[in-house]
Amino acid sequence: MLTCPECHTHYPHGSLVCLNDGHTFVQNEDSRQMVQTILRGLPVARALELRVEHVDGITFSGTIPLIVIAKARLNGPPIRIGRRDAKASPTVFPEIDFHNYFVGSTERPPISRIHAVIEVIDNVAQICSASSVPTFVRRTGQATAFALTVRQYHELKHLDTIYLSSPEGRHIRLRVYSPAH
Amino acid sequence: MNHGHFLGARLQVRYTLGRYVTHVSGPTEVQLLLDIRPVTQNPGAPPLDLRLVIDRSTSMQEESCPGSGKSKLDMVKDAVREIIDDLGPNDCLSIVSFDQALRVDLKRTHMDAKGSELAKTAITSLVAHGNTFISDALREALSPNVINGHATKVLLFTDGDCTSDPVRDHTALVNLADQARSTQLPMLIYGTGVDYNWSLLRQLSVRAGNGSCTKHIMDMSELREHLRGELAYLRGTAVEGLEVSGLSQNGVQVTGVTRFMPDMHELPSFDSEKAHPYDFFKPSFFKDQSGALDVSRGQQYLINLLVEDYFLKECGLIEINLVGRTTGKLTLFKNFHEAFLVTGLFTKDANLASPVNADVLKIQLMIAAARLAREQNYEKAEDLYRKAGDYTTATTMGRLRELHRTGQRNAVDVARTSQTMTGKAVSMIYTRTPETKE
Ligand SMILES: [Zn+2]
Repeated sequence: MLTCPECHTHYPHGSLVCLNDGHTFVQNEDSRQMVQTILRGLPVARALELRVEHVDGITFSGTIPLIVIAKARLNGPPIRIGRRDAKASPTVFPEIDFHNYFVGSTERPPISRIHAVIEVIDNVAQICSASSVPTFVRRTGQATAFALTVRQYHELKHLDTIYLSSPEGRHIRLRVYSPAH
Repeated sequence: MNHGHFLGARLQVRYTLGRYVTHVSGPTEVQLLLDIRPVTQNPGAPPLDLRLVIDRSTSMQEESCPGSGKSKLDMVKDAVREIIDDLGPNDCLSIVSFDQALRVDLKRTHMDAKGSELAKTAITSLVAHGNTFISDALREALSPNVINGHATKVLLFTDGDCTSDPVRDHTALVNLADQARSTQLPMLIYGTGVDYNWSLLRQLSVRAGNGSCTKHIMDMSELREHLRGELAYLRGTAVEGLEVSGLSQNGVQVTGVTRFMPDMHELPSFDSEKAHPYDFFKPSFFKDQSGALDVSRGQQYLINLLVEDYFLKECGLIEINLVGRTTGKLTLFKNFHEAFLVTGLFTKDANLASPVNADVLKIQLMIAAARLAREQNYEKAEDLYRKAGDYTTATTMGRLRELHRTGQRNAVDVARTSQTMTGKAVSMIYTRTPETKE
């Protein structure tokens, strides 16, 4: 609890400014230094945040308003995540396709044509890295993400964050929502 | 602090937390700054449908500001002529004027060479005379259907409160604002002088929502500058009917939401007297009909949250939902619904907490400054703007304080000007210069 020395109004811990008289509860905090730290440590440019719902199947929300993959589909062949490239790989059609995000960009796309797959094994949804460009997974609450090696399977849990390509650079980020929660 | 996200290719959503890692000790406040803007390079410049409603009661004959030699009506006429020159053959304009009765001066007309000739003739023929009764004229302006794909705006110019039948007029106006809300017709209301009912007009624009706002205008240059900006913003409209809502997660309460565009507006609490069915917050939820989104301004919010003290490490704070539709020729995937979860990092160790983010602090200071200015405490407001690094608005506050102290200008006029300026101060931070038509 904070108390404004000017008007004696109580404010919750963490408040910044008294709305009665503008008294500032923050002193000598060098936020410029903090911003630089963040820029070094976290991806900033061109991150794409998408939502993976794992309710009755998997729901994606992205450039296309909604793609729902039915639960039955999860028991079918692996669902490929990647980037369609009609010129280089005319026969490869990733089911979850991010090529739209890189149209018109002169930079090299950060993800592979087939980057990872989602597969249900023993009734558990798992992600498997399919490319030498890494896939990272971070469990919610953990500070660090770990890299999957190629063909390594990893169980998807509620609120997991998946990074297609390194979280230090340009990447696509997916978040998992599971029905148990 | 958190970082930028692209939600699909249409909207860029950037969110910033007051602190990257928050120290939790008892119930703790967390600030969330949300910046939503269309990222399209070519929004397709939708044609405009402008509907002018002009007060031509006797008082419009008075000088717009002392010594200018120009009446308020002349000022409006000049500004409208500039609008007409700026419109192209695909744009539509209609003009309704009123004293105690309404008159349709120009039905909705395309602004080709002939159309703009007609419009200018209609404007020139306006003469100030009679009493004031606004609602009939506004109803007339709202009545034509919205043309699909057009960016529509009702522009109301007035200097007076209803003089012939205020009770009937006020009730009718409030109903019309609700009608404007449901048909998604934003209103831009310009008040000038000191005789009009500022709080009524403010209430109208809040009720009408979808990017409606009320501005107090002192002179021609202000009106011209503001109108020119509005037209450019309208042409940059890339998203329509945006509705922003937030669902707070377990152990999190929403304690306040302030929207910045086109004017600063604190959403009322759900159970307050000002509660409104469209824009409000309660501990578990907030909703705001933000309306059209242009590429120059986008939309921003400061959301104040209160988290329980058991928050540890990374926790979900609030799920933000964005519903709307994109404008332009691309009709495929027009409607969108995006959702994302904002998470924060928490610690029990005060030494591990991050310093406060400078942008969030600045905005929070400016919200406090605006409140002080509303209470006519211009001196404190000036201090806070200076603290926030907005020296232009600080100087303006200093000037207003002088005008207020010396009585050089009517206190009402000063108060309204200060509200218009404080709203502008925050929105300017996020406004990129629009590309104006050659
Ligand atoms: Zn205080």
